[in-house]
Amino acid sequence: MRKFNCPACGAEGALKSAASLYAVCEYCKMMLVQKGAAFEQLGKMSALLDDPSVLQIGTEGVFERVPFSLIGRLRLEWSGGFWNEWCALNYDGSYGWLAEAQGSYMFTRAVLAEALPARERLRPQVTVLLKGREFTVMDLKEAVCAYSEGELPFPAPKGRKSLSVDLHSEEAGFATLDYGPEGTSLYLGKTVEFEALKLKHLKQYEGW
Amino acid sequence: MSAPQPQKLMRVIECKGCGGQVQIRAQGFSLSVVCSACGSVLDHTQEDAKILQRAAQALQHTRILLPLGTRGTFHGDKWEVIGYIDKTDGTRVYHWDEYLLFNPYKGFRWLVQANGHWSFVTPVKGELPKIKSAGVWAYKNYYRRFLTGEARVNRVAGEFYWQIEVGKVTQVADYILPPEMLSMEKDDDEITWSLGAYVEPSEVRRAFPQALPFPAREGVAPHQPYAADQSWPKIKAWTQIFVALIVLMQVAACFTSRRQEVLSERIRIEQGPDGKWTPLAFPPFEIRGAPQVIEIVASAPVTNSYLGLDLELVNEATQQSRSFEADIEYYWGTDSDGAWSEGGQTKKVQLAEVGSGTYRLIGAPSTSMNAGVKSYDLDLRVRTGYVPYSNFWLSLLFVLIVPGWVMLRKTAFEARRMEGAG
Repeated sequence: MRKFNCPACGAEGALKSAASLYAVCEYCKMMLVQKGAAFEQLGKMSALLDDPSVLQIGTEGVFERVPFSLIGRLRLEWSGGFWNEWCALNYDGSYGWLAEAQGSYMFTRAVLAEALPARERLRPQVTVLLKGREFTVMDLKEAVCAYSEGELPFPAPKGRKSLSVDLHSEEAGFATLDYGPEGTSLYLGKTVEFEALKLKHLKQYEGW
Repeated sequence: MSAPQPQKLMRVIECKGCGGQVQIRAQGFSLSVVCSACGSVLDHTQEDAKILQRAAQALQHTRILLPLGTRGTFHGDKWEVIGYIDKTDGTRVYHWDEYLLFNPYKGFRWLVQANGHWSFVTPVKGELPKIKSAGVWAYKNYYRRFLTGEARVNRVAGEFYWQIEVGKVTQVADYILPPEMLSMEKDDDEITWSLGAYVEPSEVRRAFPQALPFPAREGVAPHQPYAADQSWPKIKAWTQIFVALIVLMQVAACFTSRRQEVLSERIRIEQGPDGKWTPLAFPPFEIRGAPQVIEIVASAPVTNSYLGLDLELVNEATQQSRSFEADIEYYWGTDSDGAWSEGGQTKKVQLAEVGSGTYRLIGAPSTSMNAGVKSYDLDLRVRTGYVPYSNFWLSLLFVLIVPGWVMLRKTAFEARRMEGAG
């Protein structure tokens, strides 16, 4: 836990993960990126209306027997809709990502990999080898970060653009290739059933 | 962390088409909504609810079996009906209903009603089925192709998680593995798959008691399971048990029965000049044990002739006798079809329920069709411990009646299912 004071409003904040480099002030919604010991201000994040996510910061769950809690998220929008990438702080101190898209859930972890496929090669139905496993490209989405909150391991200001490629393999295997401004990242994991995540502290809906 | 306020999902907006009020039930989740007054389709995610399709349809006479806003519990989860689509096939003759179900935590499902048959449909996520020539592979199972065709959005009500369009036509294909059906829907932009499970109308009624009366079921649905399919494993198991038991009993009878020859005699029989044959008389023999089947084997070298034998089994103690015939006939020759033969030189006769005691066989040859032959060497043997097979076959047949009947009925059911294929 690293405590800090928001350089914009002075409110006290805390980073739960050692890997976090970016945070949104809970009070004044200032986007902050860590530069050495100080925080740089990137402007204010506007509020998100009609957020359909069932998850929220503080939601707890379990993936492959490792408990996690959600500490931040990005909402990504593309021409056909939107989805959320929730940053999960695992019980062992590592972090993972819980993607949430229209009732589908995918849990992944960032994986270091050399020689990732060039983005020009990727089309739906193309198969690629990732970490020795065969994956099939499902879709490619030009995504824009529309909203972020909590803390994240990279800066995700409003308007951050990236190409997000989803891939599937056998036995619920799932991968995302993210071609972002900081470079290309590979996330490997699985599609998971809502029930299997054993989620607690979900958002409440009036009447449900 | 302070507990945040529960999020509101209900909202009322104003229709840009007619000014009427439009109810939203899944604010944030749904992307288009239909005005119940004028039938316009609106994009309510925008601040000013722009019109996607103005007064696209007449809704007055639409019969929505599961009214919008009703909630039901299905497979343990609570669902709210938020959308309705009346679809038709390419000919616009055949209609079916699709009800969109919503739960903020579980996402979306469908209840589909066609010809009075219901399906609970889940969108397919993750790995997509692989299309083969006559079906698809998915979930380590093969679903065979049932139908390919067009689907047209005819009328809509409520709200949807995409921008619904009245009049939109998509290519559809259904693949079946009763009670499941995998459905593919394809337009210019994308292919979507969904997995339907056949549900009994009574199950839908239990989940949604407020629903309007359902239409009666017609015909057999593409993925309707055959009712006896559930009891089939039981029928199969019992049939196997009975067949095994019958076979076992027969084998046991063969092993335990002591086959024994109690009489083996060769005598010469002759026809006198008066045409009468010498009467038959054999030495007495013993039969021991419980009443049993005995076998009498008579052999004579008849050839293209007939030897009638009228025999009697006489119990020496009681003088009770049982008459039987053991006629031997054997014919052979060649004709336009080649060589043929009929009958044989040996005749076997079984007598049931022969109790223990001393017996004697008597009788006489009755007739011979071959006047030229005046004498025969007649072999006669009596064996005990004979295990009859007639009861064995009869009981086997009896045991196979039920599974046979079920299979016949299933074949007829499958034929009715395929009436709707295309």
